[in-house]
Amino acid sequence: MDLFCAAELAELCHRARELIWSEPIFLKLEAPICVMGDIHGQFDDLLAMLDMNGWPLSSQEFEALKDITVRSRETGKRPQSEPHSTQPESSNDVKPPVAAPKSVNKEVTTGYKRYLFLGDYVDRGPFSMEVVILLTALKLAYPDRIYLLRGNHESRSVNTSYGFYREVNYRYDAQLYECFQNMFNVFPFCAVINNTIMCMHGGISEHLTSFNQFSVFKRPLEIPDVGVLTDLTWADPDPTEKGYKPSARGASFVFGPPALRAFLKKLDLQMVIRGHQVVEDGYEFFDGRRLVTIFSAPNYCGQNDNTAAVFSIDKKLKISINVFRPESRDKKRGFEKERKAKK
Amino acid sequence: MLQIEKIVSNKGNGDIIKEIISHNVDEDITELSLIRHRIQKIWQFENTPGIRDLSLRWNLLKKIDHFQCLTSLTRLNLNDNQIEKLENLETLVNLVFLDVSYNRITKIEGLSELINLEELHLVHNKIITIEGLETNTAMKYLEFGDNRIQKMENLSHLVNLERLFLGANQIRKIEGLDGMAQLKELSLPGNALQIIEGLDTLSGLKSISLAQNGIRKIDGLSGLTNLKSLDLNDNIIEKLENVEQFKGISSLMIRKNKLNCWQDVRQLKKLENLTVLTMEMNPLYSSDYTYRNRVKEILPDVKLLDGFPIFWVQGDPYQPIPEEFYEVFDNLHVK
Repeated sequence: MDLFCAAELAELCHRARELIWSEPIFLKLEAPICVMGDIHGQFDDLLAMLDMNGWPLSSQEFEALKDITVRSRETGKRPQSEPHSTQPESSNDVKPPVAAPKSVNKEVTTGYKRYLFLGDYVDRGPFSMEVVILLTALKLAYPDRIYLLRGNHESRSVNTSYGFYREVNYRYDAQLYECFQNMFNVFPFCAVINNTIMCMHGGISEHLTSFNQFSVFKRPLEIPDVGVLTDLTWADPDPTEKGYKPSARGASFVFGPPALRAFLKKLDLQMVIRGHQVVEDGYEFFDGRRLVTIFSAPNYCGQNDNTAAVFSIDKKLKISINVFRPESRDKKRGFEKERKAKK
Repeated sequence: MLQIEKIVSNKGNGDIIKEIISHNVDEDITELSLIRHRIQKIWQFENTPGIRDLSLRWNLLKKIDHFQCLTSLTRLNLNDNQIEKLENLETLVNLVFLDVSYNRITKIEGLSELINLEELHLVHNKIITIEGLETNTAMKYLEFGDNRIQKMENLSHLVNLERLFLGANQIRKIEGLDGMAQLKELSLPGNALQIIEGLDTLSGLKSISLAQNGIRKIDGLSGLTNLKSLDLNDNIIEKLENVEQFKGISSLMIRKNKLNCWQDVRQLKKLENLTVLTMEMNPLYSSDYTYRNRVKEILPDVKLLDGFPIFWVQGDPYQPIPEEFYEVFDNLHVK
């Protein structure tokens, strides 16, 4: 018995689709914000990283949610959403600033973190549905605290083979899979933070010369086989290349440091943050620090030994990196105790 | 007490650190789940003979071994390991569920003693031939998605099979299903099919998916007298025809084909039970407003169009949803 029936999840997809569609295909965001890379269905790791780095909810909001959940469990009824409810205003959630002599200049803390996710929520890991459900529910509840970009796995041609189709069809049915795909088809493709840092799932595109180009793309759309949107979801950096070269993945291109510098100069940017590739430490710099790859699925596929990372970008665009090594969780499960007992 | 050999660290440069530990469990447990423990080897199950449900999903096992003494086992999950061969399962005669998806298996074998097996998952392996299931006539659910299968064969003796999944393979022809009147769901997306055929005796079929193939013509469906859901998304169909062959369906999916004639859509009036229609990304789609209104006009009984309720107002994520929305979804369930 699953926690939700198909109609409830379909409703979630429909509502999230309208909300995400109302935002641009190319997002302009302001710091402070955190950036998270590929999740790939590793739901327990997503929860652990949000626990570590901070949730997009304040503690009061957590308590309120808990109350609603307990109440609906007791009555056995689905919490009825208000018809024509207005979009929740996050400003109401900000704690009133507490005046203190020693912290006159201290920033007022909101009690929650804002997040940008770089795509690839599904496939490979065992809980793709849970990842998508949590993130889209948070998006609907707090639209200006969660932003979801599209990865190459948010595409029928990819997730039919790699697991998501199978997971949804096994647990529910093909029509619900359609609802998820309809939602993915309106996801944005890239974001720029403070006009300075560009974020996408894959990489840069030779054909992207101005952000005004995004106005020609009409959603809903599937990720095409070639073009700017393909590059934003499929491209990879390659330190041995100079320009752009067709990728061994069979889709899009690889690009070298000179191409990256030209791209940044043309669009007046300083840095690119992207995912799409497993990196051992959870993050990896390219061409100095002009580009950084971030990956947030630790021990990806169970075979890699990679760490996961979350970036925190503060108001002044200072980036700090939180890394998550699930190996440390094993110690809490008793293996460490065993190891000590042997000594 | 179980013995476990696990990988502690793997830098990727050949520097691998392993560790053998003892894992304490009660000797009378009936369920054990060691998901994602980086286990390469696990043994001494003689100490816990009563296990019925064992999950070692997402580990690093290369070989199926040391489970032979678990004769009470009914569920075994070895999804996402590095297993290359189906072996050493002969003594698990009570097994009902086996999941060996996301491994490196090339051949279906070693299952002949598992006469109670009802559910078998082999997603994402390297299987080329459907074989080795001669004695598994209790099978109800077979999942072969994402392998290298080219031919549908050696299946028709499975008289209890209800759900068959062969998506993302290399199948060119629908065949080998004669006499399987009990089959309820057949799923073949992402193959190399061009013609709908070989379905004449599947009178119990309720749901068929032929999405992402190269089908040009709707035909060969007249034997499916109980069909409820027809999925033809992502093909190259130009004409809606032979609609009488599936007149009982409630869900039709034909997105991203080459339909360009609204007159054809009127034929769908013959489908008295049609409540769910997916038809977007065809040439006849011009603007959302015109498209949805014409469908509403021609087919007033359709409740879901392209996955959305027919009443759906674009742009308002918080709009109310009537109760009948939930009923439509309940009726879609094949299980």
